[in-house]
Amino acid sequence: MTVLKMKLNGKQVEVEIKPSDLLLNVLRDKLGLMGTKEGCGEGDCGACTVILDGETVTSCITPALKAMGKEVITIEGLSDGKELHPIQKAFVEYGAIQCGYCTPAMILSAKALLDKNPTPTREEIKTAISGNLCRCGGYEYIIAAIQSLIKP
Amino acid sequence: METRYIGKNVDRPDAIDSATGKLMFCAEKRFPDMLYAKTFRSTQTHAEVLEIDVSKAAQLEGVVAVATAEDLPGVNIHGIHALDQPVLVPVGGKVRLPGEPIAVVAAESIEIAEKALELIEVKYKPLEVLSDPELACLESSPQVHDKRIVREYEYSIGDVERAFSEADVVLEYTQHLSRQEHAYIETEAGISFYDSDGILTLFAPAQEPFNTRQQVARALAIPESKVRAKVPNLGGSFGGKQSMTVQIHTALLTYMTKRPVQMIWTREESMLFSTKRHPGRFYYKIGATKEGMITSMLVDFLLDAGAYADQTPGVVVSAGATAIGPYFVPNIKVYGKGVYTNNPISGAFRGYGGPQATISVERAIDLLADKLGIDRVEIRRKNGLKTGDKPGNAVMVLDSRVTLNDTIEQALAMAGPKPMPSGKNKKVGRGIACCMPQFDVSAKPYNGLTGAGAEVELLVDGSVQVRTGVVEMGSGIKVALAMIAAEELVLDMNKVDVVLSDSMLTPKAGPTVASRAMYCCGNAVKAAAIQLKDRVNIKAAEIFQVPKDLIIWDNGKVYAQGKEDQAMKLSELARLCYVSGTNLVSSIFFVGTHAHLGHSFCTAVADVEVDEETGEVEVLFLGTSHDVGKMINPIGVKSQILGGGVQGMGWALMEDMKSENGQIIPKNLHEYPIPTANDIPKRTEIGIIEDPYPTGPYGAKGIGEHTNYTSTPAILNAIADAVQISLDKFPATPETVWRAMKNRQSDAKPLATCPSSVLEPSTVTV
Repeated sequence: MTVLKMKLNGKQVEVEIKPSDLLLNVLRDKLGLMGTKEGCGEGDCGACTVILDGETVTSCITPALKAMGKEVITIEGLSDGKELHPIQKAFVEYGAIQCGYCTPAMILSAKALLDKNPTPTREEIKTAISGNLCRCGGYEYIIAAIQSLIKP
Repeated sequence: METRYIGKNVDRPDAIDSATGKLMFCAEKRFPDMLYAKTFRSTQTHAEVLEIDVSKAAQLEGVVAVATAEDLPGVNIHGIHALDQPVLVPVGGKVRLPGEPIAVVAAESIEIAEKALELIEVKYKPLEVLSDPELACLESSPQVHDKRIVREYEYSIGDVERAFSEADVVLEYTQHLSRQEHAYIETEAGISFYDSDGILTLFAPAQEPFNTRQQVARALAIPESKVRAKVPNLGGSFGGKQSMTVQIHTALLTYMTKRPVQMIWTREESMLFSTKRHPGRFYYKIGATKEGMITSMLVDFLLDAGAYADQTPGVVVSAGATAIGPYFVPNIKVYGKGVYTNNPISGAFRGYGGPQATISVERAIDLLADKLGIDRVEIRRKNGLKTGDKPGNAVMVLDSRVTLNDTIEQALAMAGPKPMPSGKNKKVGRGIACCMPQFDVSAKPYNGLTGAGAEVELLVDGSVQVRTGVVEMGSGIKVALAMIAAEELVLDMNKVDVVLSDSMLTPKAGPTVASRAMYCCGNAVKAAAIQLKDRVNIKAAEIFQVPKDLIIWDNGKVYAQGKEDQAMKLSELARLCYVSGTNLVSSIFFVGTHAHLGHSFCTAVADVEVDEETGEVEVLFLGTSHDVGKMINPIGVKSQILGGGVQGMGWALMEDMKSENGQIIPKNLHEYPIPTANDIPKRTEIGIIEDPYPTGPYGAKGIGEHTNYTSTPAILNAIADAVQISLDKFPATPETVWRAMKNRQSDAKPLATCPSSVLEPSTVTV
């Protein structure tokens, strides 16, 4: 067993893990953060996307130890519990959510993009979310939701 | 009419939960003493099981139970339309496709359960494999089940042979359909446990909890009253989560161990053993006058049911009913069947056979137009059904206005002029496809889906709870039903909660299939809300001393007309009702009055650009026009249309769940790619026609599946238009398109004849 120390959603956490543990399982099973989903276990679908030091990673193939000493943001870290984060609000308002399984990860991909590039083009948005599969909605309203956050 | 919510965009409360990561799916529930379950699956495609040895697995430390068919107290069988599938394949039984479950293990951890699987030994006697559905009916072919045909369909009217002999032009065409994977992002997962009343409870996927309850009770030989099936939110289903997957297995392990058991399928298991969209082929022979009037249509279709019947009986009928398209044809003969093979099990997939038929007929209509030298849009306008016509099947009656032409004109208007190619070696093409999709209206005798029950309860704090048995799988039915209750009871949306899909808490409402939930449950909830209001108004009339039709409900207040200043809070009125014996739970079981299915119309127009050097296809434009009757929540309707369109685009361009000798080839989402954000059409337009359906709630028709019918054929037609290739096989991957262009000369006659001579049905039961 090893102790993983990381900054998770703004707070320092320490959690006992096996060196072979994957970040996804640590988040879900050891820390109870169920907002991060598993869709394929192979990094194909992106439902397990979290933000690691500003970059999106697929947590289902990321060793938990990679987060040692780093900052991790999951969907639970976006809203303060009172107000929705503007990206969350836009996703709800623009009909960007159907079954909702890909949504937390999709929102995190949008956040990572907008944090780095507040005025992305349509093509840049598409590329930024192209690692997140959505089978219900056809992406158009997700793109619209993200575009609505671009300040002129 | 001024409405409060109906027809206005309303945010989904459950979408707020998904955006914050709080929405609960099947894999999210945890218990401290929970066991983890894994399935031992057949590696053989078709084989007799001679011996099963689980003794070593059972002795492994940490393994709590290993179950085989011998441990099943009840009947070892399940199925949706026909009971032909074993829960666990027994010794002496046979496996009929790879991945069939033979044993299930419950252990203290997933790792231990996985290790235990390696210790299970099974001896097989391999049998000859039947993988070609065209050969399924030959006496010399291997027999998968006692019977070879799952279901046949036949419909005929007039005299096709005479009409062919008199036709100016006769076209023959065979369309082959590939197998599509649902590829919902959430794999199958479930948990079972005993609650404090000793009820065996399941949180597991389904499109109807009551079906799960029935199937689990039968397999465990316990009364249905001892089983509770709850379907939490589904991470996509599209028809694919209707069949038994994890349910009976986890229930059996909980029954044996008395502990909570969780089972989560890996993506590979999901791809291996979930149901698929039926592959197959449709043969068309169409006769027409030289002016382009279709005089006769003969259709012979074959669907590959795979190793078990599952939904094939229904899919065959639905495909048959859609095979003529939205056209008036005086002479018709449709014969089709679904056959058993050792291939992956085919089931329900958004449209239920209708999309396969639509692709085929819409390709054939284009080829007919080309042969006649008539415009491809014009031939559709000319032959399209008109109000009062008799459609080419026995399950639909055109009892409301035919809006086919409205959708054609709207789709063309959205498309505008055909785009110019972006460069050398690029060709642009435009395709159109029309359809008359069906939806269930809870009416006998064609569906047997039964009525839809709903309860609306007024609580003494003035809040309202709506309860009904349908499932939320992303379509937005939950918010739509809340909107209806809030509309009728003149309440704020935040005063209304909706509880769905729990066999112990919600009334039976039939399955969430056939684009029926809005029509059936919408009607049920509306009627229940009206009944409740009427009941409460009796008390209000007594209190206010006025006739009850003068009672006004207004945002949680109730008053007598003109006396708003003397309004009473709804909560206070509810309390007075309760203490004086008024039943505040209103219950309706809605049964449709029609003797047929509901129908709608839609048209898609697609523009594509094909790279002649690489065969790559880019979708420049996809515009779809749907007659939805009435949009309850417009943003929800449009989002369905977008998603269904892209799903159909994926099938047209990239998706093919190939199998070889019964074994599936793609095992994950990189070997089976589905559209990403980078693949969507460059421009998308949604067109809405609202021609109110006389019996629909506020005029609404079904929509969910309808969005998945026309984008595939419109895109295929556009590719054919761009580079003049046949596309009798798809997906139109760059390689397929490139090869077809290369062979264009030799491939110039795509007109195949019917591969097997099956036009004479043996026994027909429609």
